[in-house]
Amino acid sequence: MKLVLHIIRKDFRHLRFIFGTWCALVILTGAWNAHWGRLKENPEYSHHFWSFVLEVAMVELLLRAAVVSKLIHSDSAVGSTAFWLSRPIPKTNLLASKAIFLAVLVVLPVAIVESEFGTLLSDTPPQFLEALLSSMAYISVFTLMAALTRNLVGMATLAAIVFGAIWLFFSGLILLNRWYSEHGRTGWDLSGEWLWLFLVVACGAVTWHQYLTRRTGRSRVLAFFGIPIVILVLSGPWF
Amino acid sequence: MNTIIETQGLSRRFGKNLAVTDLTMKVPRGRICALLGPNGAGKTTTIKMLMNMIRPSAGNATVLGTESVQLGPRELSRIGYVSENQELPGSMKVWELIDYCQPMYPSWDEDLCDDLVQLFDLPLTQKIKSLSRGVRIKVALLVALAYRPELVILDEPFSGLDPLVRDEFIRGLLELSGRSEWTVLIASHDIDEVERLVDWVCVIDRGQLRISESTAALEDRFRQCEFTLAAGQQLPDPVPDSWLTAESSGQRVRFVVTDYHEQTGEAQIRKAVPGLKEMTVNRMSLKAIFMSLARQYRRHREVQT
Repeated sequence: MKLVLHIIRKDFRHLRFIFGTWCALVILTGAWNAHWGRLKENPEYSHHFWSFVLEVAMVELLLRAAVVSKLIHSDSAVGSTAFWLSRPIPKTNLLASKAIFLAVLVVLPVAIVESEFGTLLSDTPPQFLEALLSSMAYISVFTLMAALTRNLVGMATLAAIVFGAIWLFFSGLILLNRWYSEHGRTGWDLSGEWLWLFLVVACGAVTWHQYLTRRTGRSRVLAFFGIPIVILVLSGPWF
Repeated sequence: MNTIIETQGLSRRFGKNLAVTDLTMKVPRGRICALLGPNGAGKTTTIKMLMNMIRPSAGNATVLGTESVQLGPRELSRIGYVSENQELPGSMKVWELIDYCQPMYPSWDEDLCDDLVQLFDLPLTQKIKSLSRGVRIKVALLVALAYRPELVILDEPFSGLDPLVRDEFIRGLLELSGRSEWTVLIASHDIDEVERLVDWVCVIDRGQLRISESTAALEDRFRQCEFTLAAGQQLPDPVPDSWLTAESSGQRVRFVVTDYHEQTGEAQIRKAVPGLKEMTVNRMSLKAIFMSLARQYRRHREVQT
C-alpha cells in the first residue's frame, strides 16, 4: 500500500497543472448546468448558454481524456522502454495506484457534480449511482485506449478509429433493428445501465490483462473484437 | 563457474526476422563483461529478454538464479539497468526522480547517492527533459547504482555522448567498481570505451554467440602477425583455420592468429610457411581483435550467400 500511495503522490505531482485546470472546468460545467436549468425558460439566454456550455463540456471531456492519457502513459504498458519496467514495482501495485487515482480524483468528482447539478443532456440530475456508472464507463474506455497506446497522439488516433467503428457499428444495428421491427420482431437492445456496467467490467478486464501480460496485440484484439462481439451477443433478440 | 546470467538456446523472432538465434551464454559473477557485436547483432534484444522486457520466442535465460520471464520486484531491486532507449520521466526534476526511486530500494545508500551527484555534477533542480543526453544518461546511471545492485546492465550507454562525458561516465564506473562487489554487463559497439572497463568479453554476431572468455585470455591468444615470403614462395592453401583475415601485398603477408602461444607461436608459423623473413608478432587491442573477428564473420556470410 505504501508503494501504491507513493506512485499516486508521484502522479499527482506530475499531473497537478492539467488536473487543476480540469477540476476548474468540472466545477464550471456543474455551475453552468445548475444555472442553465433556471435560464432554460428564457429562449434568448438559453441559446447563448447552450452553445457556450456545450463548448466548455466538450473541452472538459477532452481534458478528462488528456488527464487519463498523461496518467497512464507516464507508466506505459506498451513497448519495452518505460522506466517502470526495470524498477521493482509490482504490476498489480502500479495498476492499483492508477485505478485509485482515477476513481477518487476523476470518477467521483464528475459523478458528484453531475448528480448534484445535472448534465447537459438531461433535464433532471441523474441519481448518484447512475452518474457514477456513466462516469466510470467514460474513464474505463479512456483508460483502456491509453493502456493500448504509447502517447496522447496514439490515443487520439485510436479514439478516432474506435469512434468511427462505433458509429458504423451502431448504424448497422439501427438498420438491422429497423428490419427486425418491419418484420414484427424485437431487435438488439443497447439501452440501459447494463451497457455502462458491462463497459466498465470489460474495459477494466482488458486493461488488467494488458498491464499484467504486456501483450499489446492480444489486448487490442480483445478490446476491438472481443468487447463488441460480447455486447452484440448480450443485447441480441435472443435475450 | 559461478554464473549470474545464463542463457540456453535463447531466440527471439520479430516477424520473419530472427534477432537472436539459439544464444547460449554465461556471464560469470563478479566480472565486468562486454557484450560486443556490430549494430543489429542482437545485443539490445538479448538484454531486453534478460530484463523480462520482451519474451523469448524460444529457449530460456536465468538471471540471478531466476528464470528471466519470472523476474519480479525482488530480483529487479538487485539489478541496475541503464539503456540508451530507456524513457526517463521527463517532467520530473532530478531530485524528484531520486525521491521517487529511493523508497523502492531497501538497500538505497544515501551517501553513495550524494557521492554520485557530486561525481556526475548533476543539476538537482532541473527537469530531466531539459537536460542534455549526456546528463540524462548520468541521471539514469545514478538511479541505477545508488542502491548498490548486484548486477548492472548497461545497454549502449555511450552512444551519443561526447568524449568528455564518456570519460566521466567511465571514471565513475571504475571508481565504483573499486568500492562494490558487482557484476556488470555492458552491451556496446563502442569498443574503445569498454576496453578500459571490462575483464570478460562475449561477442555476438547475427544473434549468435561467437566468443565468451576473459579479456586477458583473448588478448593472450590473438596476435597480429606480419612477414615477408621468400621469392617465389606462396602461402599455404588453404591457410590454417586459426589465421584470420590473411591478406598479402606483394610478398608481404599480414594476418591475425587466434591461437597464439608465447613459447611455440612463432615456431608454428615458421613451420607452416618455411623460409619466411622479417616476421613481426604484435599483441592486439580488444578493438583490433573485435575488428578482425567482425571482418571474418562478414567474409563467412559472403561465402555462404
